[in-house]
Amino acid sequence: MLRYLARKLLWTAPVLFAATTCAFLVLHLIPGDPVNLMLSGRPASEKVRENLRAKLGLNRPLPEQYAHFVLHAARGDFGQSFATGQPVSQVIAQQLPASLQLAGSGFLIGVAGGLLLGIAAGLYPNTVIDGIAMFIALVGISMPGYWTAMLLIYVFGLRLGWVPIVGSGLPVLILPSIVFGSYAIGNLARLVRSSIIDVRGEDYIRTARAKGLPERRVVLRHALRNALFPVVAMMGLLLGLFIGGGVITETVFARQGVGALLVTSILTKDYPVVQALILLTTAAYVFANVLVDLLYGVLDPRVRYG
Amino acid sequence: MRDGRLSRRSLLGGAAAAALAGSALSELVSEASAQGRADAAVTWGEDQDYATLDPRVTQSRHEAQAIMQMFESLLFLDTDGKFYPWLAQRWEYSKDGKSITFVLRRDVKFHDGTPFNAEAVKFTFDTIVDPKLGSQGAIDFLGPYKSTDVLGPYTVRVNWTEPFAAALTNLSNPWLLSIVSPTAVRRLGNDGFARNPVGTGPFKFVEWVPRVRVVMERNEEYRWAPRVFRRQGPAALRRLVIRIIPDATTRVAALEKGEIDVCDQVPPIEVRRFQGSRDFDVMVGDVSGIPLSHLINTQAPPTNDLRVRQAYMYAINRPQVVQQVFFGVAKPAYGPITPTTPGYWPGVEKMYPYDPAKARQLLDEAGWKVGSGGIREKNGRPLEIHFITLLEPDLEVAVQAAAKEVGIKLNVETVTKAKQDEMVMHAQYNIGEIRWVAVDPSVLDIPFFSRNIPAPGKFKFNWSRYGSPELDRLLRQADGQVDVKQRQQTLAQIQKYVLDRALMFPVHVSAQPIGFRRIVRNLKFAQGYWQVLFYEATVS
Repeated sequence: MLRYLARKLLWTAPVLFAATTCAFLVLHLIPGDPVNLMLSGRPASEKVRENLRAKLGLNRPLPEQYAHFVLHAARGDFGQSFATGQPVSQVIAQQLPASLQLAGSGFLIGVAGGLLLGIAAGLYPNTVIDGIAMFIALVGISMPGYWTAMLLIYVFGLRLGWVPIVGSGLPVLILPSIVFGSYAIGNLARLVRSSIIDVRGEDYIRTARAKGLPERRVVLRHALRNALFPVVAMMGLLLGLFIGGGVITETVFARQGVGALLVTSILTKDYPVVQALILLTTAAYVFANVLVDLLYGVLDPRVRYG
Repeated sequence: MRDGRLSRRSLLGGAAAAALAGSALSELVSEASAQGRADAAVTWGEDQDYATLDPRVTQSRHEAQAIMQMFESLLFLDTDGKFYPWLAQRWEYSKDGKSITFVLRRDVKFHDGTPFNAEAVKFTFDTIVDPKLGSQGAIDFLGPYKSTDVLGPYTVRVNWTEPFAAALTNLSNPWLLSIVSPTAVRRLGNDGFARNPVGTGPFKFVEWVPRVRVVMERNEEYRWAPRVFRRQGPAALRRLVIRIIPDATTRVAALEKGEIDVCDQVPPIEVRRFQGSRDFDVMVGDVSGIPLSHLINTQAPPTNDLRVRQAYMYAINRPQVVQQVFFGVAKPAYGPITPTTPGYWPGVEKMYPYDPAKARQLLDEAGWKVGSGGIREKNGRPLEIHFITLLEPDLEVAVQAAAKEVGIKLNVETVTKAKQDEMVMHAQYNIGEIRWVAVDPSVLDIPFFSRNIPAPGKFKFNWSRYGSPELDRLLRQADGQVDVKQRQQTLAQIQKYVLDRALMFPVHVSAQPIGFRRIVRNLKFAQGYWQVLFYEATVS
């Protein structure tokens, strides 16, 4: 097990390196001049532009800029944001807690909702319960986040007034978490449902029933545990997605977060911030995957790592 | 939002303000509405995020909204077009027009307690032109700046290398050339100061949570408001919060719910609804500067033909299109600067009225005959115009329909800023959009001076790519004419010249609809009609 973990962690370094190099290359190759974008297209004189270019180190040749970035990143120094001059680590540190909050609550709602709906549908397939659950799942997957957000804001925020829209305190997480988690609910519900239906046809389930176990025991003890494998894999993927990708939810609900930060930084070509965030998101995915692999080991005694 | 506690300090502050206000009869009468609640807080919903709060660095009219509550300039330019003393009590031009001497107020203090004086003015202007600062807006606004001389503790002389007609207007700008505390800058460094601004304004900085909010509180020492305001002491509001909400729908919902009190940039479709409501109202600013306009590329076919450009301009029914898209909130525009900009020449309103028959005639003369499908052709090629849009795609689709009526095929392409910039530099367009918030007519240099023609690696705004020595001469002349009447005449010539050659098609004045709860009173537009000053605002 430990050797397996060590091997996995050893692979993270090259993966991170490859991801950030790709990001660096793509950023520099796509059209758009950071200095120009920073100035929002204002008619700044040549001297203003040259000053800015020098200040940001953009007048140096590309390989030199790359080497500079890699050497400093290895030491944890990601430079300063082009937009504000703040150290990038500080910029990200300010935005990260809100993203983690949203990711956490969204993930919880997604998993809880998805499992609930999926189990109900899986246990009572082709019934009204199944129909309702799958309808909700379909809506969760297909409705664009922006539209769901607007609907929820209008109905629950404005008309009914039950929850705040952009105010303060913990309740302000409610609407964004539902929007954020709706995609996960949809995906997980369908996956859990088909997993359970598959598993219920298995021999060992018939054996358990033949032994005289109550149905509830059959489901909870045997069917569910085995049905969860594909679900765990999906959860790993979702976790990575959640950490990186809340930009629409963050923008609509006027929240802090790394999703919106990433998009803004790409549009304004704020290289240091984008590179640091790519690194962060890649690391999140890798971490999530390792976690999933470990969970497999826990859930399935047949899986041995060595 | 609102805090019910009334502390002794704010009571005393309120009493002091009342005493000052009560000294004039007219002020006694307006006392009731000028006071409001002395402990009130107001939240403003802002539509774009901030990167800096340093007036010497910024170029964003959104950051300006926060900056102008905390910083002040030497003189105050009101929306009536007149200059009033502010941090400077009086000023005088030198005989050669290249210098202005300012006599400063002696009773002004920065938020950190240090005194405002001639040294602070010199420090502000000198650091603006220092490349280490990285100024993005102020440095160009200072014009051909040479130096500032300290003639006494409260007397300064600002020198330019040549007469600068926009000097007074630019120096009155409260978010670009306002005065910073040298002590604070030296203590915090430029980057630190950008996140902890210290000025002389009626509000002082408390905190800035990036992407979320900026919080300011009342400056209790404030006593030097320009005479333009009825109020003379500290502000009525105890706290002013700027909450950043980029999505317009969310911002409007927050206003309706009461989570914000004043809303920036209310979408036109919502304006009527708020204006008619019991609890809310909307004040609409007609923004000065360059209206939303189409700059037409005079170098690329088919728009390199004057007749085609003119036909385009005659073909579009401006009042109708603007009404359709903006529901009456924005007004149509006919000239390169808006009616609220000084130097506006009303003669532009007679040029290019809606006349589709004239448009068709011009196109026939130019050899473009109507082909199949209603689109004109010449030598087997259709009359296609490539239009890149970033700012107002809805409007441009309406324009596209109008152009089709006379046989022009307008290919509208929606682009990101980065893509637009590339296409502009490489001349891959026929028409692009421009608009500019400005208070001085020298803004005309931006799209019309020949040195501003874009090229690869050089992003500038002369997108009609037209340069003539005569136009340059007129623009330079207007920039240097300190005499108002002479300058007005030159500006009229420039506006006629530009339209005669169909370099630009003005469409509509930019509108700044501010939605607010009726209990918030005395909001005032700053010069230019984009930002709002909260100094006199009260909550009843």
